[in-house]
Amino acid sequence: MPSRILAMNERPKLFRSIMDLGNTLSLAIALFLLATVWALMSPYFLTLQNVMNVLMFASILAIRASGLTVSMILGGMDISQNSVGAVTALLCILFSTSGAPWWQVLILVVVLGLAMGFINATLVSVFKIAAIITTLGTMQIFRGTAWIIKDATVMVTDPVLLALGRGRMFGVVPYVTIIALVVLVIVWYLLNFTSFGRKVYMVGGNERASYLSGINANRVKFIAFLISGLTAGISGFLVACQVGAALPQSGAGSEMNTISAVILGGISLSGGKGKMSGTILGILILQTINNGLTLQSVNAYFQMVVSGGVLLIAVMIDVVRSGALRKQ
Amino acid sequence: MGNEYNLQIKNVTKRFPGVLALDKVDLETRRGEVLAVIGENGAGKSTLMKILSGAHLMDSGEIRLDGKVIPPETGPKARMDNYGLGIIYQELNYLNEMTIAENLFLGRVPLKGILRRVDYQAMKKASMELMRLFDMDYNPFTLVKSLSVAEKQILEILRAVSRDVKVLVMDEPTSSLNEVETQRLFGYIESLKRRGVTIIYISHKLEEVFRLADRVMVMRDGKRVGVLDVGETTSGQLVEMMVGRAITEMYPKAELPIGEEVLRIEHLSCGCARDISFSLRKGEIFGLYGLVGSGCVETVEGLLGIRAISGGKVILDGKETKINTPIEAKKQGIAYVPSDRKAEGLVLIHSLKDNLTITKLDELGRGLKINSARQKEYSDTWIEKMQIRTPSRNAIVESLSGGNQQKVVVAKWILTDPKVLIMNDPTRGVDVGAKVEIYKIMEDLCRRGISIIMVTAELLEVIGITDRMLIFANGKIEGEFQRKDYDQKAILHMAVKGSENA
Repeated sequence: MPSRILAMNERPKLFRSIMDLGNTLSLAIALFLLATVWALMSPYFLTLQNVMNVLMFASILAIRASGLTVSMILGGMDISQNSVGAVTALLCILFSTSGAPWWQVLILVVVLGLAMGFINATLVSVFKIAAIITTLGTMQIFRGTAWIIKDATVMVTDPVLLALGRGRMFGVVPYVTIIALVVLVIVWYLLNFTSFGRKVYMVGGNERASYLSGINANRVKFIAFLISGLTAGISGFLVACQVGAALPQSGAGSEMNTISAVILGGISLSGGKGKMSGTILGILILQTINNGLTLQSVNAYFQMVVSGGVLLIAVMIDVVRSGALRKQ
Repeated sequence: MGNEYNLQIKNVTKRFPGVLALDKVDLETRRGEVLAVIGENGAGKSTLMKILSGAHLMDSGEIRLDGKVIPPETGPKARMDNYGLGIIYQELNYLNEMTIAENLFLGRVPLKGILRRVDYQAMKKASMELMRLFDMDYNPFTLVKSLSVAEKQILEILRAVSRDVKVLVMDEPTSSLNEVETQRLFGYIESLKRRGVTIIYISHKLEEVFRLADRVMVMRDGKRVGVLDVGETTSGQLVEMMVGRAITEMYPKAELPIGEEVLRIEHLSCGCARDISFSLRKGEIFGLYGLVGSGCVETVEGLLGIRAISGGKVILDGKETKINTPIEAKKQGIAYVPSDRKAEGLVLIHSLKDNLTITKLDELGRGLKINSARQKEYSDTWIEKMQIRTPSRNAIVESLSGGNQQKVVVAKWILTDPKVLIMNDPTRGVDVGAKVEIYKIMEDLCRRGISIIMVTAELLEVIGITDRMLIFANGKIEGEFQRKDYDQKAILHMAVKGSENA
């Protein structure tokens, strides 16, 4: 028995719940400190305009990250999300420019997200292909499909869709942030207050034991990948509305951004553990770092180095704190 | 055989969370003797051996070999290399895809030349010399995966001998061997003895103790109960020392009325189990007894829909039913307590409450919100009823002791109000006290009209607790006994008979 497990077991419950809270709390403190530093370095950082800017970008990432959180608690990673987003955005904007009213376009967003999620879900839960391999394959298939659909930029012309992506409620809160809040609350509620959510945690913690307890683990996985696809489709579409154009290469190469944020938020790669609050904070931290660096006129390449470094440092702190490095 | 002790273990204590695994245990051996260490599961045998071999760190105590104190933090490899202290575990470890010679010289392959090439000729020669000691005649370049389990075990012995082993610990080495292979293994142990090697032989099979050992040490609840010369003891005395009380107390078996048939299985075939038929009646504990690979486990796995069946019928309450998955089994009222609690019974990283109500999630989750008040109520009720020792319902199950974990597994199924409860080796790794509690729970369930199928390879247990039993060997039913006709020798004979023909 590794000493780490023994050490954890010996800790009383109260201590453990503080540790649990500690993860969220330390992320929140990190975010606060980060914001303080940026605010001191740039007077522009704390303006309403800039804060809403950060929220706007963070919101769209948070939507897909919420779906990713579900699949990662199950122990499976969905790396096809950005490709799903690109296909959804292209087809929906093409549909819109062909004259379809905005509400029909929104229905298509949902249908396409679910359809691509359905493909992943089938491969993972019916054909039992490991999630990361499944989505590695579909990531490329969907990306290729996007290029085949349209080898060019498609401009968004519908004013309703443009307003959805860029507009602000009462001129302050971006609509995308409101959409993100709704999505986040729904997923948070699903995970914490429904039997589906409990099953996600149980199957992620031990699939075999859950299955032998009469839980339909396949169905749980299936639904999880539907959710992941749906949130990917919505966020890809909102990116297009925000940018004002759908591009076949949208999101290519930044697949790992959401995954980094979710891991920063404290999800365990082996499944069974993770919280929505962690995911949200993970995204806010990464977005705030990038925003602050941009305000300091640090170039994008250096920003990548910093983002990667922050992720590794966060995980390192976690490893050291858990005592995994201690010898038996 | 000298009279002075070569190995001396003094006052070894080891505590795991919630359990005092070893309580000031002593052990001494002489050169060239076989000391059997016996005791029930959870008595502390394996923990003691793991401390001896360096896999576990003791909390206090001292180990001396040939007068030299072995520092507690010495690792397994250093103990072998520097002190000649080796251990052969139940789960054998070699590299299946490599040759006999490579396995024998793992970690110290002979090299030659300035390029430090592997010296295959030297390896071959040394391997053949080693094997000759034990009258073995294999090509040293045979792949290990083509050997039988017994041969692999012998390979492990050779590996120890090649390193000049002085004290060799063998942890239940015959658990996966048939009678013929056991015979051969005993022959090798005899020749090791003649070479002056001390053998510490862990077992819970009394018969082996009398065949092989010079002295026997009995352990119970982490303590040494006594050490006896094998010639001066009887199996009755050893059993009493092992369980610490008369056997009727160990197995609190009440006479309960048995009702009509609940479940019938006709000509079921699944995996190695062929053409299995039996019927189960209301309120009885029905034992399926057989050695590893006898087909008991396959039979219940087929019944539960965990494994695909290749033929046969399942009749539940007079109606033929098809059960293809554990989900369907649950719906039909068939519950399953698996043998590997950690891998199959529990989600270790989650709370007692979550684990206990895992079987009720569909029901609790009707409507928009999971009924967490009911979840708490269920947990508190069953913690109380089963006397699960836990700080709270929110405790992570990993932190509970084996017995309490097992109670959680049983409780989660009782919540579903099953007709039939299948228990596969329900007291594995559970200490003696908790064992009796589990037996009592089983009795209680029968009283409530639940029928239990218990699969086990522990003879004392199956005799102590069941109303009726089937004996399996080689995938077939060898015989059936009613409680009044239970006869330890006859049952064991039947179970072993099959494997002799294998």
